[in-house]
Amino acid sequence: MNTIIAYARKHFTEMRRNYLSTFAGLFLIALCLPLALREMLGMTSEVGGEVMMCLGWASVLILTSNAFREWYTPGYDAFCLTLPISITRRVIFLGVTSLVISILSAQLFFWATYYGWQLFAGFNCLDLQDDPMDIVLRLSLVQVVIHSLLMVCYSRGGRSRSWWLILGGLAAFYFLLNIPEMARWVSDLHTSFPNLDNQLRLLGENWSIVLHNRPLGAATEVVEVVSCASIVVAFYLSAWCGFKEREARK
Amino acid sequence: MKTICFTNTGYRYRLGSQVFRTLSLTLSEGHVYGLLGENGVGKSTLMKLAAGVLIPTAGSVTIEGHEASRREESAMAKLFYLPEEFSLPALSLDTYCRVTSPFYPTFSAEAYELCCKELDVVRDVRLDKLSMGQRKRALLAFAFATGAQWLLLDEPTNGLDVAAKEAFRRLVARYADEGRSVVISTHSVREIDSLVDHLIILDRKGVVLDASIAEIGTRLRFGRFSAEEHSKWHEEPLFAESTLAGTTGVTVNHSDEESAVDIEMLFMASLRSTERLRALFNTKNE
Repeated sequence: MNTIIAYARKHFTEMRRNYLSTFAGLFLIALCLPLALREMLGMTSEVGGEVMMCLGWASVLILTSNAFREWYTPGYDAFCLTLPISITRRVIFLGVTSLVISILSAQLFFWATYYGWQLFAGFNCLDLQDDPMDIVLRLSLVQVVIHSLLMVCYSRGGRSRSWWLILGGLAAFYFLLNIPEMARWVSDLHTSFPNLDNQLRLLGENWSIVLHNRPLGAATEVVEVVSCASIVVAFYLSAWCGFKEREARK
Repeated sequence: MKTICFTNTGYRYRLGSQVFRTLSLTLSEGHVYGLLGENGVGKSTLMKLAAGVLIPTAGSVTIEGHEASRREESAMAKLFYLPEEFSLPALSLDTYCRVTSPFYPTFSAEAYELCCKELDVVRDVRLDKLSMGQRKRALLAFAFATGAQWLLLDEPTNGLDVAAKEAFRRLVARYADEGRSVVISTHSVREIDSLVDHLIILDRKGVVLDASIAEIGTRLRFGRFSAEEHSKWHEEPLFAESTLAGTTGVTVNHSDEESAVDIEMLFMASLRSTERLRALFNTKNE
């Protein structure tokens, strides 16, 4: 436990500047993006989904990148990796903290500015027909997926070709999520493949893993949740193997 | 006996050639090892294997009985590895020391103060803003203060000025006097002259020589030879070169008198008469 505390202290001291600049950037996105979107699109509401998605992506990308810097920065890795702390502890610490901080910061900045805009400018940037908790949950799930993909990327050394892995992984993620319907194990017109409109809705305005307007526990949702969880677990396992392999053969 | 053991160790880089095939080597406590070899023979790889940064593709590397590649915290806390090239965080040395020293139970604040003073380290400027030489001084000060049983230094004197090199020699000598071991990898052979008490010379086949300075001085004769002596040589010298003052070189020592070892000449001999040296010191081919 002492080692983990010492490692956390070291990590956050070394990366303090990066974390602070990331939080400042996220705050600016949350503060300015709703206004910019309203000005550009002429909308007065319902831009919150895009803002939240943007915050979700940005926070996971930057914070995970900060966390795993010591694994992919040449000259910093060999120096850091000889610290007396096991690979397992190190990866778990960096993985968990980057995910938790990403989720918390995206939620914090979004809701803070959402209520800020509403309170001070009377500008409602999100159509809250959905339960806010549902929105929170859905964003968090999307962030978990992105995070699992990033872990795969960093386990491969953060090389440029790994970024293609992220794009491929995301495409595979959405594709595989639709396999149950393609195979006609379940039937749901709302997400039928290859309906382009529905695909866009999956990536865009609805961006949900658990599609709403259906009772929880329905066969479609169960299969989707199980598929989603399996894919995410597969990404994390792949990342884990990558970290171990990268250690073995630099 | 505290040791780092390489047992039939093999290593191959994923996209490169085989560096070691069946390397067997034992490093013991209380010595200052000089690790010599041409570029690309595997000096840095050997250090990384010992530090657990690389995992052998064959055989094993153990630190005091612990598999290095497992990186057990108790084993890693006994070792500090200073790579040849590194980048450092945007912290001053004092802050860096404050957050990193808890990993080393043998870290000494007094030793840190002393080393900083001896190496004339800049402590209040961010490490990433320092020149290469200053960064090396800073890390060396930290390395010596860790009190780790094993100090693995890869090209530690690169970028150091004359005063810092002198301080480095003093610190190494003092460190080893306390029963700890220092392994210095270098191709600047002059810089470890009279500093190391054990030499390991590597070539592309593996270990050419693994012997103490005393043993080398007993088996080999180094020096300047007069023309008369030169003419009396019964066998080819391991290395010889003509200078204005006569011939200098390395021959097999047939006398009982121990010769003062010239590491640079020995290194040249290892390049010119590799197999003879290997046979003389009974070193197995890898």
